[in-house]
Amino acid sequence: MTSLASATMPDPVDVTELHKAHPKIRAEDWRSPLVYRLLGARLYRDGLQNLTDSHKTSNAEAIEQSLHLKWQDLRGDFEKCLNTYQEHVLTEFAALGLACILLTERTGLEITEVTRLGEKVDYWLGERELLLEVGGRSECNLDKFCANKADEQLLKNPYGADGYVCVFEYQHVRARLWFYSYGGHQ
Amino acid sequence: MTSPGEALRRKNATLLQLEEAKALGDSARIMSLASLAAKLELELAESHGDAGRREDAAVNLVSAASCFIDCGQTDEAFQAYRRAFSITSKPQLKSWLQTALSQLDGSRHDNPKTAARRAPRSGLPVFTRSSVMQLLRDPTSSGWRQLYDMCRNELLPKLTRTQRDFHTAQDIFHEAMEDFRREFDPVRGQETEPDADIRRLVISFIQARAQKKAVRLHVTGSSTAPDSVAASIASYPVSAIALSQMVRRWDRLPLSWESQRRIAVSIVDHFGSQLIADETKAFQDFRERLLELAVGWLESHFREQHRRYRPASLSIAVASLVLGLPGRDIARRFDCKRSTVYAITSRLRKFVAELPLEALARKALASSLPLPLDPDLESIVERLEANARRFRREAERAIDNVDVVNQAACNTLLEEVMSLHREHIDALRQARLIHAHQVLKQIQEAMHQLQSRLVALGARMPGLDDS
Repeated sequence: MTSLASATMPDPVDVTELHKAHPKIRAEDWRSPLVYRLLGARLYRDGLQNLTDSHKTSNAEAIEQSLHLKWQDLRGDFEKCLNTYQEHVLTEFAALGLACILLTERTGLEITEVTRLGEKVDYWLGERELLLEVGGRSECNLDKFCANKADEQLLKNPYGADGYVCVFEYQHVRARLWFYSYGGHQ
Repeated sequence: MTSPGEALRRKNATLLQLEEAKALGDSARIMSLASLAAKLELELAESHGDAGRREDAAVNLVSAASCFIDCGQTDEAFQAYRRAFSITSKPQLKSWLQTALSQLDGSRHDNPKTAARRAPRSGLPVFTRSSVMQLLRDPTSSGWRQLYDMCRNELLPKLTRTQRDFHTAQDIFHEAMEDFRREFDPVRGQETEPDADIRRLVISFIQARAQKKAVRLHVTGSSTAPDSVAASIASYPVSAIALSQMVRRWDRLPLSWESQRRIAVSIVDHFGSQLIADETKAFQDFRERLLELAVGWLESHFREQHRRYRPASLSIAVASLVLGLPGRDIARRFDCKRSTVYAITSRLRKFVAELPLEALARKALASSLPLPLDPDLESIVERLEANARRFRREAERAIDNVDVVNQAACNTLLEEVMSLHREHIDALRQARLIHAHQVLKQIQEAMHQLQSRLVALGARMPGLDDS
């Protein structure tokens, strides 16, 4: 029974530890916003949530998978965050937190550097190998949202760098982490 | 410079904090974080450049430029973009930078403030003369508010960056001061409104200079009397450099004698004996200014009571008191009689005790540099030293005549006498007369012991009368 259970139900990913795979940035700040979006409520409680995600690497088909996310003991930080940030900031931070998890779980990549380009912030993965573009929305068409992020932002980077777009629709707890090549081909 | 790894970590954290600040709309934090992030990006760019990683350096320069734009430093942003343009070989980045440079240049031309800042860097920037003086000529008091806001938001953050920018700020400040003095004569009672801002301006100037960074001000109190300027300054710790700037431009501040005195006392309190001992220019300037002030304060009071002393003698005496210079040096330097200096100084010392100058006098005296010596006392000291030498010679001769076993004990007693004698002379030279008197008693006892010992051993003893 035990082996069957572990085969069908993988260990949940701990949101409270999402920052550990990204030690060069302050990813711990993004835990509570992500929990807030996963909970869908301003009242904190420890919990567990299923996330449907789509992952696509270069020259590969997108793979639909699911992740079990759990969190605990974040009440203090959670309340502080909600008292500090506006909704759109919380959404952005939640998407960043989720990007950390998906990058770790699906690609093994690490966010290593924050950089600025014009008015916005970008994130480098690895040794400035790839760029990361992140976005979050309450409810959206993930196809359009992801393509828009790729065309309007990621692929307009002047460094000629390939990268990932990570988008999060928290109403339906769905996310996408897709690779885009600078040449314009996914 | 920090290590690249540390700079990267700090830069990451700072950029994320900057994003938070932008999300919260905290403009003061945005300014300081963007400025810090830009500095860290430049450090990283330099580090990459040193290692020959030109494309990496270009990435950091682009990021630095974005940060500079966030804190309104468009000139610096322009330069960072230009440097990135010159080092990258990637056509797409060159193209992107070309667009960014032309947009930024356009916005710089459109903005009169930044247009002024693009003026030639030699001499005083146009920014100082035109925009500030325009504000100062504003007949409404809000001109002062604008001046203050401008200095705080746009200029003071730049103090961290270059010496040239500091001079810009300094010039604005002093022009403001002059204008203040000219336009707002306290007699006419018009200083109330601008003084509040000037007070903050003075504080922000000094604090920014002292800490070498833009500061968030927390000015408390609502008093707008001219002396509140002094009180506010006095309430902040002042660095040596700020002190220097302050003192050099002292005359431009619209301060009363009493205000100046209060500032001086607070500075003396802050620096303590360093004021006397430090030979750096800042402290030398301050000592000179302090002397002028002291002469001013004391002459005005002292002359009333002691009219028979010439002002020059009085000044010299004050100098010896305040600066702790030895009387003989002062007398030689100013070609005046030592007795005159001593006479005036001793009276001044009593007089100072009655003035509201406790802190100043205490510090000056606590440094305990030699005070001028009474010529009569000096001749006494010389006679005492001659007698001590004679006493030693005679004692040594007497000790030579006693048996070897007792010589060591007698020599010990003699050394004790001579040691006490030296202490006695020192006390006299420092005018510590009570202590000198106490030591003299000990000398007499020690000599009496030596005398008794030598008599018991059948040796000839030196006389005690010479002491």
